[in-house]
Amino acid sequence: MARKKSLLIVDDEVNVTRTLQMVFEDEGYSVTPAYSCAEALKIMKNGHNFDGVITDLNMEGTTSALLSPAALSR
Amino acid sequence: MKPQPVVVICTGYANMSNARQALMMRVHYLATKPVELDELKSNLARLIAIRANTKGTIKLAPPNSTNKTALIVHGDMTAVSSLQSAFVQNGITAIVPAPSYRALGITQHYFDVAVVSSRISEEGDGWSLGGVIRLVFPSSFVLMIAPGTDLMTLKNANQFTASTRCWRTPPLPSSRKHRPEQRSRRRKRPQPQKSASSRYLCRHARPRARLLSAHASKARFVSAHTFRRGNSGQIGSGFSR
Repeated sequence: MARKKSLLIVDDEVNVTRTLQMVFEDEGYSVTPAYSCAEALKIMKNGHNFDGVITDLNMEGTTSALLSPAALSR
Repeated sequence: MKPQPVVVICTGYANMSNARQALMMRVHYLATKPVELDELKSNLARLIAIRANTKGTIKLAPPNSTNKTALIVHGDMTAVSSLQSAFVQNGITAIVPAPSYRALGITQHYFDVAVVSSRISEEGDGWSLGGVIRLVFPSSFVLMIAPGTDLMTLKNANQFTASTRCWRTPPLPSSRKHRPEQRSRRRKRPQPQKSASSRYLCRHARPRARLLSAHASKARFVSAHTFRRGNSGQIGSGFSR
């Protein structure tokens, strides 16, 4: 059985995050939501290996820190 | 080290500042709100598939398909249709962007060959497109159709193809670097006196010549009269690697 593709969705707008989560879960992805950069960084530090990250650009916290190569390749 | 995930940024404001910021972060896809979900889904699936095939390094590579695809960008529809039929006769799928200036918008596909006219809507605007296509598809053939082989045309061919190739030139190996102690041991030959201009040319032209010769096999330059002959076999034979 093929492994489900995993996605991390980061957005401080709860409605947007939940909508995207529903859409991509219907498409067969395994979705992990995060509502801030700090939360997303914490999830990534825990050793999750995501196939994709969908994030908002303008959020509280630093999106650039979330998307730095060091954070992404953990 | 784990492969990096595909990064998609969704931003509410489609302005230059946000786009530049996303570009600096080297994201793989930039979507603007309200997000077109079908487009986002298809692009995400495509990028994740490329990531899986390339083990994390997202780079457009030739697919393992025997079907060859060609991109044709030309302002003249008569030339487009003759090129398209020539490609189809040789078993190559030809894709024509309409209107022509949208050619870069369809570069999410892989093209084995791109045929670009130097004049799309005004004289010379095809050269910059050819240069960008060369960067996007480094292992594909890029053919430029120009009205003739005059000085300006050749200069344009040099500027737009050589300058894009310069980005991909590997650094010189350490053994070729300047080593003063070895140089001093060599026997000095008497050198003819050079003028200031010839010294400048030696210093600046040689690395350029090396670049051009190193990559000359990849470059193709076809003038318009090659196609005017109407021999479709020429395109097929020029296509083989």
